[in-house]
Amino acid sequence: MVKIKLFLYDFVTNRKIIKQVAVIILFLAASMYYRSANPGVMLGGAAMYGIGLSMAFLTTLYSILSYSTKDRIKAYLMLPCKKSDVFFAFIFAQLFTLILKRMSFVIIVALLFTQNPVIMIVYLVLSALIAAVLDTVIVMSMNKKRPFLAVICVATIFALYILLIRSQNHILNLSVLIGVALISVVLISRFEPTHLAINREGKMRSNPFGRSNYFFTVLLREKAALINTVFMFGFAIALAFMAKDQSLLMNVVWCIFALNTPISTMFSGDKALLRHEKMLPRQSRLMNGVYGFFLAAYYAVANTFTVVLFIVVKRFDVYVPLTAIALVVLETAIVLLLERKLPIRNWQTKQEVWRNPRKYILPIIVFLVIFLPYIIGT
Amino acid sequence: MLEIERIKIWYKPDNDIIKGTDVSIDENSVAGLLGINGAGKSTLINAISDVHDKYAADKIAFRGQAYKFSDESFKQNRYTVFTEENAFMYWTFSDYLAFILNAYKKKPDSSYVDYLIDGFNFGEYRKHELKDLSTGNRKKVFLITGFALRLPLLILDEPLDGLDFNSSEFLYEAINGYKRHGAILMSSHIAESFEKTCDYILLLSDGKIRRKQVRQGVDIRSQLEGWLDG
Repeated sequence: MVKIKLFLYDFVTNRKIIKQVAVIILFLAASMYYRSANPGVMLGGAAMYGIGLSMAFLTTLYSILSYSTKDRIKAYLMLPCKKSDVFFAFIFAQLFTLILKRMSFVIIVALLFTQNPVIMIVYLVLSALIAAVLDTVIVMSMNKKRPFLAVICVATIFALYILLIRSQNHILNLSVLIGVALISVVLISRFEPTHLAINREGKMRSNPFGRSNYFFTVLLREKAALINTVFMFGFAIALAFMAKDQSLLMNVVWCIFALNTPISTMFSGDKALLRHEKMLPRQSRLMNGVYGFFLAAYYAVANTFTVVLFIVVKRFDVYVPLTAIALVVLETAIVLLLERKLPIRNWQTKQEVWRNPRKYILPIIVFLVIFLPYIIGT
Repeated sequence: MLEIERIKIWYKPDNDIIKGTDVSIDENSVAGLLGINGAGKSTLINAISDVHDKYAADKIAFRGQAYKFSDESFKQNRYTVFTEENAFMYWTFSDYLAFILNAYKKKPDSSYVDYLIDGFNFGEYRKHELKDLSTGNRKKVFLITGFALRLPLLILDEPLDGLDFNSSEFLYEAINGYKRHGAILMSSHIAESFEKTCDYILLLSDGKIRRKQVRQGVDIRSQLEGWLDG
């Protein structure tokens, strides 16, 4: 039992488990109330599979990527445990955290709002297991300098996603899921526990981006932040084309970039940097100056990109560039204010920083600012 | 130079770690901060460095002027090297030093910086990112920066952690040489470090600080043991 818990408490604590269970119960109660009030509401199976698998895969990958840089992982690897015990404990920690913090909500929705809840839950749990195992394989492949295997794993997840949203054949789908899960377990056995930790010994890299702005370097060097930012741009493109004929929905594109939490929590997500900033005299301008410039640059690029999307979908008018300029100033100021006055503390993983409810403050403000003319107009 | 009267520091109210004690650091001197594990050495250093704000003091005076630890004018006169530092991991030493010199509005004394880099045997690592450096080399980044600033007060929290033998010897030399520029407050668990560098010891025990003069020619270990026991 002790071995199973080896990595677990780096991701959750007993207190957080209790809090999360309370949130799940509240969510269940609210969902049941909504279900009884709207008995006709049903979700399609394909949507649930897609959401479940992609969310499990992406969030667990972020979580492992940020965790495997930690020095404390070495302390666990040093212990006299069998290789299989270490991997089992690691996967268990990922799976437990994934189901507790994220999949539980999807499972509740599946339970109440789908035609075949039992099959759906089997799908979701299998998806969570595959995501945890394949994400672990991906991170170990990258640590072991085998990017090809990592690419194959990503392609596998993508293929599964396509299969699940297209195929209605449960026997085929479940057989494939179980098959992939088994192959993933075999793949893991080809690695050593040391591959769980990023080994930087002997690696010496000079900063290729210069001293221009520390936060640009962080954005380009931290995979999770970079991947998230690329996804934001991709999502904005997708939404813009889906919503091009709906004025209200099109305006939601403005809010997407405000959801990029790795960008808006660069101090909260780096406790050492936060401490250093506090130690230094204010004239260092590390937060308001250096970070402020980085934020302004990011939001300028993001909002300019949104302006381009408005032009491409032929919804451009004079208010679009004015909105973009106003949002650059507003978003930069609000993020700086939040990082100064409301920094996120007491987190264990970067995932917790990014998922902190504070993330909704900025998009809500942006949403209100964008929709204020509509609200006043009606 | 720095006079603190009846300072209390806590994490939880009604449970003071530092219990209303006086701290005094003289100009151009090296003060050793000594105490057993958990005595509150790092807590005191964190408070002086403005990274721990749960404190109260009757008076904080720097060169006769009343301050709070968060006052900009005070902060411009001191720099802290923490026990463990993981900030700016994607920068190189050169990037970090340039940033900090600019932050404190200081011009670099290249020959002094070169002297520190040579002394710490750090030359080949100055263009490498901090996250790729070993514990000891990472420590040197912040030590060299701290010395290079030549501020009136340099605070070193267990500066010997991770340093090799030669670098430790050079650190003693650098600390002693620093008295020309300012004062140092240094916490340590290494008896030899007090013997080789300190003018006096601030002994932290039961939340109170007692000042002890280091007697030259008397074995430092016996002095330290006597103080800690008594």
